[in-house]
Amino acid sequence: MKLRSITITGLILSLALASLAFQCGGGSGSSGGSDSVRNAARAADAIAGSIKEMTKVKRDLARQGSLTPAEELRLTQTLLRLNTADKALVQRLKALRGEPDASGRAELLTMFNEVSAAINDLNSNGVLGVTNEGARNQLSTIITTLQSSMQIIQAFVQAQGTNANL
Amino acid sequence: MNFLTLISQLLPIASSVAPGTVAGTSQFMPLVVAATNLIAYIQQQGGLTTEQILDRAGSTLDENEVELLKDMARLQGSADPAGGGH
Repeated sequence: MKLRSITITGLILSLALASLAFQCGGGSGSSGGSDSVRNAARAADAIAGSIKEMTKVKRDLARQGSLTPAEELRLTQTLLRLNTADKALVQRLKALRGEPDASGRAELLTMFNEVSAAINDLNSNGVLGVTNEGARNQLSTIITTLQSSMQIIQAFVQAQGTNANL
Repeated sequence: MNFLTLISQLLPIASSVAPGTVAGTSQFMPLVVAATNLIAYIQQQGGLTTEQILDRAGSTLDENEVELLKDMARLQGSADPAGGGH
């Protein structure tokens, strides 16, 4: 029953994230933000929010005794890596003015790949190593939201590549 | 009704189908709280410009870094085998 509830919550969170991909216009910024840049910004922001919430969940689970100190340490290290990677991506998006040139696109791709690798690291070396099943399932739900955010950013990065080939 | 508002209202239903979800008593509660907070966080993006969203992301990431470094210090400096420590 608990697993079903976690699954439902995960589904709701994924829907929330997926809805970002279909929202257009409505307050594009002064930085020349097209819808794709705006969606990438929203997804990068959602990753920042997910890291914040995962940090709180991690602490709560540790307080409940559902995580060992070694497991919490691995989660903390991998969350820190993801936080640093997302920070670099956000800074790059902030610096975007119009369509990026070839080196700008390459830079975006590198940053996207680092965020993606950091999420995989968080999942493989942090979450999947948690022995308490309930704790692992809760943390996995947040991993799903991170992966949903990455799909939105991936669409943006791919669009940049496509535009370059036109 | 905004889609995000709708799904944030569905969350209490998700939590209600879990046994023993009286606030603070279930292991499931941290996730419900996190999901609700996260949806509210995403919802706030609607009223912001792209630049403001990126500024907010930057601030959140700075705060996250401080909190995670605190946790690192606690976990690397602590020999407490029980974990948590808050």
